Amino acid sequence: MIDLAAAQLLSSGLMAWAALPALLAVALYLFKRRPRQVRVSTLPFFKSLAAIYQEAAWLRRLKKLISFLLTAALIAGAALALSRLVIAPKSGDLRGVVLLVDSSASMSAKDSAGETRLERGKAWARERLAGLPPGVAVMVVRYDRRPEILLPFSYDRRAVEQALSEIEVRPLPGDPRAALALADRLAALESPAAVWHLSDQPLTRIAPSALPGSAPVDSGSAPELATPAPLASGGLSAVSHEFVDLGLAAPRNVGITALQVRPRPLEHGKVEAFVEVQGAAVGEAPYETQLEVLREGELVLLQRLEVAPGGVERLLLPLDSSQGDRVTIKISAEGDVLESDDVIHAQLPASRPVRVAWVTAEGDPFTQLALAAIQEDGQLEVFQVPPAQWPLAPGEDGRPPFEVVIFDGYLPEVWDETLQAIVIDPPRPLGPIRSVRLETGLPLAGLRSVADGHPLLYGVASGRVALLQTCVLESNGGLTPLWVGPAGPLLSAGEVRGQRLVVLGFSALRSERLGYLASWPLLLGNSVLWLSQPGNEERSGRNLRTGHVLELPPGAELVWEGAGERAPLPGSEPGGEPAQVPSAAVSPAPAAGTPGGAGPGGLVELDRVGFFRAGKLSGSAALLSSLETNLARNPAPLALRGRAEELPLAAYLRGDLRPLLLWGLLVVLLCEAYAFHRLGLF
Amino acid sequence: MSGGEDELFDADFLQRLRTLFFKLKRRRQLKQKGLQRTQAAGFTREFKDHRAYTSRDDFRSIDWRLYARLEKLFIRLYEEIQEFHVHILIDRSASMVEPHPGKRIQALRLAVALSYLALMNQHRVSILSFSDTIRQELRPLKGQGHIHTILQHLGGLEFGGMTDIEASLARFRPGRDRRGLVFIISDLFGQDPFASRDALHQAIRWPAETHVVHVLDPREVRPELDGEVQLIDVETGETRRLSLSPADIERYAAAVETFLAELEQSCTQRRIHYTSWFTDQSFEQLFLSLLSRGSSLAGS
Repeated sequence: MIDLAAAQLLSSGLMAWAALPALLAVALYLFKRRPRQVRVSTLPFFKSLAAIYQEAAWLRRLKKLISFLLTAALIAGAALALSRLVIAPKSGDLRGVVLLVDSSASMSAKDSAGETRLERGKAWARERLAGLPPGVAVMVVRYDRRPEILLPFSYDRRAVEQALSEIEVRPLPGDPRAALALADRLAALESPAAVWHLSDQPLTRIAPSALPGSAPVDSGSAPELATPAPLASGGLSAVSHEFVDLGLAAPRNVGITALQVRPRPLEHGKVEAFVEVQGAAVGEAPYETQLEVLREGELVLLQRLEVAPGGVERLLLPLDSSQGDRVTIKISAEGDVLESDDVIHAQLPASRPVRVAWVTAEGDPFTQLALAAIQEDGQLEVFQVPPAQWPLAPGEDGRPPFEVVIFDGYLPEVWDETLQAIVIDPPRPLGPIRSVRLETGLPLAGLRSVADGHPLLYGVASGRVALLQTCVLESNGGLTPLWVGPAGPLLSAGEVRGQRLVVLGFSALRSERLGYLASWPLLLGNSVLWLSQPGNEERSGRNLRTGHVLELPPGAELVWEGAGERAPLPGSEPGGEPAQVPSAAVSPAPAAGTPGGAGPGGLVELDRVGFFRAGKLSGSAALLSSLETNLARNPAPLALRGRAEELPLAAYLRGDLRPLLLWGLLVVLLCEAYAFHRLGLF
Repeated sequence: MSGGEDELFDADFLQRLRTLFFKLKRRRQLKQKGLQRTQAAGFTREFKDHRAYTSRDDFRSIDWRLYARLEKLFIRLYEEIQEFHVHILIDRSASMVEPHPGKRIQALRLAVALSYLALMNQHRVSILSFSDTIRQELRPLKGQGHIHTILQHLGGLEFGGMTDIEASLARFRPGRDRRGLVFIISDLFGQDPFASRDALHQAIRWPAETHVVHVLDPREVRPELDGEVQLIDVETGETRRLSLSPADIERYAAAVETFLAELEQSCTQRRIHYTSWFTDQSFEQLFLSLLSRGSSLAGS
C-alpha cells in the first residue's frame, strides 16, 4: 500500500486551502437544512415510487454516514491531488530516466520498410516507457550539435509522449559529447537514475571526452576526426547508462561531405566548385553514383561516379561566369538510405567590375596606360580623382563609391582605415604607412622577391624589373615585404586592422623601364583584385554547413527559401524534376528562441538545408558531415518486443499520485452518484 | 344552525339546491312520455288490471265478484308505488379533511343534496359514516321536514382516524325490507388504496343500487411538489423523505391515473356506479351528471 513515510507534498501550501471545503462539508453535515414537511393523503403512491428505497432507519443513517465519509474522501483526495502528493520510491529503485535522443541527420536513414531511425527509437522508447513504473520521473533530451532539454523530470507520461513526438530530425551533424555530459549530470539529480541513449552512432566513434562523467572539452576538431575510444563506465556510480543502437545492419549511403566555391585562377568572375563525395564503409560493391549540377533549376552537368565503400571522390566542377546564380548539386545512388546528405546548395558570388579611384595630381601616363589596359576586359572601372576633390562623397548606401583607392604620390591629411588602398610613392608617413623618402631616388636593376607565391606577384617577373626606389618602407606588424632592395623594402602588402594595404616605394613615372614592362599592369591588376577580394566575399553569398551560427545584420530577419524547411528542397529527390524555387515559397524563419529561427538581428543557427537570406546577406546551408554520411553498421539491429513489461500493483502506488488520485476521485463520485442520487430518492 | 352547518349549507347553497331539484324534476318530466310507472305490481289501492288466475297466485287476490258473473277465476292487479331506502355513507377519515379540506365540504354537500332529493321524493334516508369502522349517524328519516336534522348533524360531523373500508363495509347491512340506494362518498385513500378498491366488491351482495362517489382534489392526482420534501401521511403519520423531480411527479401522476382507471373498470364490472368528484369542478354539474347516470333516485 501507500508508504506514507515516503510521501511528500510538492505544493504543500495548497493543503491549507483544503480546510475550507472540509469545514464547509462538516458544517453542511451537522447543520444541513431539513427538507420541507408536506402532509399528504396519497403516501402509498409516493411509496410506490420509492419502493426500492424502502429502508430501515439504521440503514438510512449508515448511508448518510457513508455519504459524509465519501464527501470527506473527495475533499481529501482533491486536496492531495492539488498538493501533488508524491511517494518516493524504495531505496535502490530507479527514480529517474533521462531519455537522450539523437536527432542528427543520420537518424533520418530509412530501413527497407521506410522507417527512420528516429521513428524506431521513438517506438522503442514508448515500449520501455509503458513498462516503466509511474513513480519514475522521465526527462527528454534531444541533441544534434548541442543538447536541448525538451522536458524536465516529469511523472506525466502524456507530457513525455508529447515531448517524444516533438522530436524531429534536423539536418545537422551530431555531437553527443555535451549531451552525454548534460544527461549524466541531470540524471544524478534523481539518483539512482538511468540514461537511455538512443542513437545510431556508437560511442566508440566518439571522442573519449564524450564519455559520461567527463567534462565536455572543445578540442576544436570535428567529431568525425575523433579517434575511437572504448566505452567506459559512468563517472557517477548512481547513474547507469544504456546505449540503444539504432543503426542499420548494412546502411548503404553515399553523400556529399565537402563543398567549396572558389574563383578560378586568372579568370576573374569565373568560379569552380570543389565537391567531395564519400561512400559509407558498408559492403564491398562500389557505389554507382550519378551527380547532377543544376544552375537556377536547369541541368548544366550530369556525371557518373564510382565511389568505393569508405572511399572519397573529390571533384572540381567548373562553373562559368557568375552572376549570383544559385547552384544545386545532388547525387543519387541505388539503395541510398540517407537523403539529407545527397543535395547541397551553393550561391555563386556575383561578379561585377571593381571600381577604382585613382587619386593623383600628376596623372602618371604609365599608370594610366596600365589601368586602361586592365579595364579593357571589363574587370575594372577606374576614375581619376584630383587630390582637391578628396575625400569623395559617399554613395546612396552611405559607402564610398569605389572598392579600391590608389593614392599616387599623394596622401590625405587623415588616414581612413576603412579603405582598401594602394599607395604609390607615399610622400610622408601616415597611419600604418611607415616610409622614409629618398629625395634623389635609388635606381635598382635587380630586386629580391621574398614572397613569390603572394597573389600580388602572380605573373610578375620580379627578377626583370628595373626601377627607381623613392621610398624605403618600414615593416610593421601588418605589412609584409614582398620586394626588398639594398636600402630596404620597397613593396609591402598585408592587412592592418582588417584593412588591406599595398604600399609601393617607387613609381612608374620616375622609373626608367618599369612603365614599359608588362609586370607593371600585372602588379597593379593583381593588387586591385587582391584588395577587392574582401568586398567580393561580402557581396557574394555564404555557403555554410548546417549548425553554423550566423550573425545577422541589425534589423535583418532570416528567411529560408524553399518549401522543404528541414528536408531537401523539392526536386532534389533522386530522379525528380529540378525544382525552381518559387518566390511564393519564401517563408520566414520561426520565431526567436526556436532552433533555427531568430528575430531581427542577433545570432541564429542554420538548421536547414537550403538557401537563406537575411537582408543583403544571402547564402546556403548544407549538411556536409563525414560522420553523418559514413553511417555506422549495427550487426544486430534493434528489434521491438511489441508489448510492454507488466508492472506489479505496488508500482502504481509510487511517484506522482495525482493521476491515481484524480481517477480515484472520479470513481468515488460515480459510486456516490449511483448509490445516493441514482433516482433522486432516499 | 351551528357554525359547521353555516360553513356547509348557507342560504345560497340551499337556494341552489332547490333550483337543482326543480331543474332535475323538469329534466325528468321532459324525458317522460306518458305515464311511466314501475312495472312491478304491488298492494296499493290503485287498480291496474285483471288477469287469469294461476296456481302460483295468491288465492286471496281472486276477484270473487267477477267469478260470480263470469264463472272464471281472475285476480286483480294494483299499481305499486315503491319506496326507496337511501343509504348515504360518508368517509370521515382524516384524509377527507387534510391536506385538502375542500374534500370534506364537497362530501357533506353531496350528502345533503342526496338527502334533500330523497326526502323530497318521500324516500327513507339513512346517514352513516365510516373510517376504520362504520357508524349510524342518524336513524332512517322520511319526510321533507328532516332535512334540517340532517343538516344539523352533518355540520357537526367530526373527521379523523384511518380509513378501513373493508372492515366498515363488512358491517354494513342495507336491509332486505325495501329496495335500497347506497351512496359511498369517499376518497378511498387509506393505508392501501388497492385494498379499498377490493373492498367495494362487497356491494355485490347488497340488494341495492350502489354508487361510489370518489372525492378527489386535483393536487392529489398531480401534486405541486418539487425538490427534497418529507412527506407525512395524514392518517398514519408515516413519513417518507423524497427528492422529487418533474419526472418523478409524472410517474406519480401516471400511477394515480392508472389506479383511478382500474377502480372505475372494477366498479363497472360489478355493476357499481362510479363517479370521480373533483373539488375544483362545478358542484351542480357534477351532481346532475351523477343523477343522470341512471340513478333510480333521479328516476323516482
